[in-house]
Amino acid sequence: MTLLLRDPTAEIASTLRPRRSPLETLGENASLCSISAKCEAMNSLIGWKT
Amino acid sequence: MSENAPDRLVIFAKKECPTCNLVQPVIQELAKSGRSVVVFAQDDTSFMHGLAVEDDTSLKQSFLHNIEAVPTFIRFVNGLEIDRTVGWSRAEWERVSGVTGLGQSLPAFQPGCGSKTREPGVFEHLVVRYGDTGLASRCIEVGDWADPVETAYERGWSDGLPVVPPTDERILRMLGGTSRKPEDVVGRVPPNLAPCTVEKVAINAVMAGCKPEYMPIVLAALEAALKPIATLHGLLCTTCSGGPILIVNGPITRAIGMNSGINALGQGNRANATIGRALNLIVRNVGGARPGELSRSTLGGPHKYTFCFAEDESDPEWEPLAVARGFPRGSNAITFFQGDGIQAFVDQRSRKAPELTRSLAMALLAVCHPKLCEFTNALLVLSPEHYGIFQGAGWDRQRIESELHMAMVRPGKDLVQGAQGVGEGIDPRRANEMVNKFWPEGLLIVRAGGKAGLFSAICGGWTGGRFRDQSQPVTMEIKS
Repeated sequence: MTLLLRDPTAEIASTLRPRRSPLETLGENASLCSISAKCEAMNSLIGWKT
Repeated sequence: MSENAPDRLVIFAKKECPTCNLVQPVIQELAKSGRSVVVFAQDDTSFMHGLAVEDDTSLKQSFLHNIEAVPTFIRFVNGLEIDRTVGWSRAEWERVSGVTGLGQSLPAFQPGCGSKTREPGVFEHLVVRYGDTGLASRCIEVGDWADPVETAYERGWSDGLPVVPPTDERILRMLGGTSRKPEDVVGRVPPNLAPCTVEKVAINAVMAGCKPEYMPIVLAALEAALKPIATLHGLLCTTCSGGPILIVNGPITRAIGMNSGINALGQGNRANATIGRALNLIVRNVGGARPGELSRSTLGGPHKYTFCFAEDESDPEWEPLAVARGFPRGSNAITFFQGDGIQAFVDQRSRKAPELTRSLAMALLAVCHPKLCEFTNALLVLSPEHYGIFQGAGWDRQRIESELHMAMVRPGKDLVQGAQGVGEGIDPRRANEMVNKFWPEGLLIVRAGGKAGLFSAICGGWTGGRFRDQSQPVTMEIKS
């Protein structure tokens, strides 16, 4: 079941996206090729298409 | 409520309720009279023998019909509720059912029990599952295989320690700790000056690990911090090490189990730890004060995670901090002090009040820099043993403060910039003055700590305190 959390921020532009860089995300999720975080990261790094 | 019969009697009940068991023969009596009767069982469908019992162990129907106690006896006509009663009262059940002579062998009246929907922690789940939470904050979806704690880290919501995931159930429970509406705006939080609603406070309080009963204190802390004279913006963005220090007074500290005794300024007490942390998370998440971004402290300090404690008010002769700052004795109040972490004060030899005063003055003079004066405020946390020395001499708060101030007056010529071979110091134009270390109102004294140990603590104030009329500690009443 999908868990929903509520945003604790003021929801202004600078807080609406995850704050880690794609490279950091890629590093942590390198073995989980199916998750979207890696696909996004790869997409932004080397132009992979998800 | 789905209907087959135009006139229907519905009873919400649970097996563990003695009154629900008591009224079984009455319900059977009603069923035998030809009335359409349905029982919704909250816990066990087997206990109403020979009756049509609907399984409501999910509590959906109980929630949708706003059942607060069992048995609740409701009459529906053409699908619309026209009457209800709670518990057992022969007269009431006869009025609702329109049948006379019910339960002749029973007492005329017996109160019911609380509905399972109202058990602690249950109602919020039901609101999320079957109702409308009314929460306005954006939903963040956490994938099936993702860890919500890691999601909070990834989104920059954490102060570096794990946070409690802010689910709707937890937020609703937290909001139950205040009478204020979720949409109420508490104020604009610097440095982004973003509006902060009670709901945002609750979300951050959940993440900090607060209990709902801490909410009034968290709200008061935020309100105090947002007073212009608290200069929160400066405190957040300064390169100095200052951060919020919260001192709580009043019976609420005992009610929620705050620590004013052993290790009062340290770890180990949930209320102390999480109230202070909640304020800092609000400042981070709503205000946008993230280290390295708008938060620019050169060194920071562990107090910037959390620094909150209760004052020891066990001595009726002592005037608590909030009383000294204008609040009636016995009232609940919080003081927001802009300060650094603690400097331990050790004196195990001075046993007379004047001696201890001189000793404390020596340590207080080092606040910020020994040659800087009227440059900042200070918080002195007197331990019971040190306080006992003053108490034994018959000194009250005013006497201790006044003696300390007098002990810290020094000739300006020794303190001006360059004097004693040190560049730092006061304005050279004050060389011929006798100079106070603090403004008269700039030394705040509180009592806390374990009974054993001739050790007190000094928290230097943030240097913004040098602007006497523009930056001061703030004390606020804690309201429900």
